[in-house]
Amino acid sequence: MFYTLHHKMARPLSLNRCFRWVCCCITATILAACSNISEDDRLIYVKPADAQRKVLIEDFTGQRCKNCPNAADKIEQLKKEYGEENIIAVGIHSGPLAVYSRGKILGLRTEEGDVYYDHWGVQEEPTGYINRTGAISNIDQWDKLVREAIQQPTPVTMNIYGEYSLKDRKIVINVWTLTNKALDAKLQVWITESGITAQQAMPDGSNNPDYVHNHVFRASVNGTWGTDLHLDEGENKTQTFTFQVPEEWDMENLNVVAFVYDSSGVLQVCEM
Amino acid sequence: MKRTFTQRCLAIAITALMATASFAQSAYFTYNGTRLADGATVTIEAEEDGWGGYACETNPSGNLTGGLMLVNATGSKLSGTATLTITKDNLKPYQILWCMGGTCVNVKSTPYNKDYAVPAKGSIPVQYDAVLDEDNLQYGEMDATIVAKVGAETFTVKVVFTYTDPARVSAAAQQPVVLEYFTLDGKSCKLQQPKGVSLARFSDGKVRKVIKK
Repeated sequence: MFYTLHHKMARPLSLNRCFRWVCCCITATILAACSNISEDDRLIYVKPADAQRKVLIEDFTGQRCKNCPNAADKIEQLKKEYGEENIIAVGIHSGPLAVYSRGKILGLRTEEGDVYYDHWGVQEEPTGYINRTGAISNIDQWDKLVREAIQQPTPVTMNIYGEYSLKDRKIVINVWTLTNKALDAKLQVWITESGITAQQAMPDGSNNPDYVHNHVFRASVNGTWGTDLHLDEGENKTQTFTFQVPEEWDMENLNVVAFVYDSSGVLQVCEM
Repeated sequence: MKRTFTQRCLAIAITALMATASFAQSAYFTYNGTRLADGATVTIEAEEDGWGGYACETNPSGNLTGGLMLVNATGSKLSGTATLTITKDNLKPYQILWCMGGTCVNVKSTPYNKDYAVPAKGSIPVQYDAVLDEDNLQYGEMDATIVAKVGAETFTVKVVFTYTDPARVSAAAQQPVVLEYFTLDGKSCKLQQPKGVSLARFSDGKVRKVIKK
């Protein structure tokens, strides 16, 4: 046996054939060394980064509120300073200074707005809630509160997209949410309208019948307090809603505001 | 040690300056541009409010200096608290709105306090309104005081809101009133009616005998 092996080994091999045998051996060794990995485990998880936080300003206002136009001016100033897409304002006409439509007067007050007014204990207008953190505040505090809020990182990334059907007067809304930590929150979707011409009391005591109201809260899409949103770390979800637009609203001036909030406040907001 | 004449003059001057300073007010109310004495009364009749109803408003017009204003007479910003107290109400307005100081509130009970700030040498409107109940219009009067406090100083104005029955006004306007009384020998008594029989000249141009017992 030894002789046979030696004899076989004594016979000279070509270099090329030798090289091929070595490569095959190495390959076989490598392949044999790999573990069996299931398909589910083949991707490597990378935790999503914190997102840039946007700020929601809930502006409690009313058409009989003489100083409320000052809040609208403040909002425009903040939008210019931080960017239109980073400051999302909603004017909630509510409380005794707001007006329901009557006779020739177009009113912008809603019952749902009154629910928010009562729930947050609003006493005066104009006042606002910045990302639903802290307390309801006067407009002279908004610069500071917005600056602080926009610097806070957030685990939530959002995107909103959809379709407006002018013929059916329907809006289909898709809200995509991603989180980098487990989330037990609410998703709220609202419809707002801009460019509404309606009478407004002004700081100088006059009533301006041609005042243009922007970012006016019209209705919630998914209930007064939104719908549940539960996500695990790294999970993303898309939720779809359909809204039938009343005849008296101008579809071309409508916006959709979506935000995620929990007991700590608004985590993220976006607008379509 | 006896004071010199110069020292006495200086003391008198300082005392006079302090006395003057104590009389100089840092703020005051004005109504339609006219300065009001402290504690003065402003009476405002209800008018159509532009919202389909009637309201009494201290600052109804689109005029920044019109209506009831609080004026800062100093060269520094003034901050303080204003207190609204309703002392009489048979007007029963639907809403009492008060916007002085930057935010507007629906006042449900008084006394009600509001913080305010007036810029140096500037003024702010008081913005106190009573909105009448269109479904239950009630003639009457509502009296209130507004006290603006700055440090130890207070400035007061009384505001009377009225809604007068137009029929009563019209009936009163149609009733002739006495313009002058005369004795029977033609001596004028102005508006003092003498005892006994006298003559009265009325607004309808007639002269009648009148008796005061």
